[in-house]
Amino acid sequence: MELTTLEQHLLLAILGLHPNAYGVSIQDHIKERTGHEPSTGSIYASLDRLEEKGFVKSRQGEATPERGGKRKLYFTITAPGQRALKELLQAIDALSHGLRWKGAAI
Amino acid sequence: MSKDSAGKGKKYSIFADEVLYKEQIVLDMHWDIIPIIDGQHWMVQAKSIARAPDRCPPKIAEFLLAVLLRPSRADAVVGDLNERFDGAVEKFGRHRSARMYWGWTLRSLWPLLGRAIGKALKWGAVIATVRRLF
Repeated sequence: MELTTLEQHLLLAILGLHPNAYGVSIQDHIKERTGHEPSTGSIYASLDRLEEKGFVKSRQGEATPERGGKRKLYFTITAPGQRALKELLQAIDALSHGLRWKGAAI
Repeated sequence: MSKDSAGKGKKYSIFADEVLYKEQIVLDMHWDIIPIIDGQHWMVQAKSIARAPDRCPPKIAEFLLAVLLRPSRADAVVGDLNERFDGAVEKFGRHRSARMYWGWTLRSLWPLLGRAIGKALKWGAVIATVRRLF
């Protein structure tokens, strides 16, 4: 099953942040590591798609005063999600193996 | 323990079955729940959720998100934006943070609405196909 770049980033972030992956922490994690900041809306739209595919599942967390009494929504990666991510990383690894970059040093 | 008897900063001891009751009033108050030794008694600490006026995000932006998104997602999205807003107020002040909040809201609405519309169109196409067939 195909995954968009943001979906790949989200799966990696959720795995890396386990068990504290929720909207804000996921957004910060991706921004710190990629320099790109996806909007809260695009994160949730993609998480919705991943949940439909059965790659992640969500559970409600605690409400805090800074959140105006709104509960956090924590995400965890499922076994099919881990499998899909592993296959993707293996494919990237296989494709990038032995590449010789042209031009200036990157 | 009743909601009326709960006060900001006070501590109460309640039984585990009262935790369900706590869930019902969590919208009005914040509670820190600490299990005590035997796991059957809980200590709760009530904290007011009333925010100082300069800590309140723009109400219309919050309302837009709450109205346009489905409830389970709206809560999470608004909560995340409120958390960001809280941090931004400390750094940039109320007015700049309010503008930032509007920016985050508008940036967030587009993909979420796009997804909702896409889903509706997909279902519309399925229904139209079924109607054509029968």
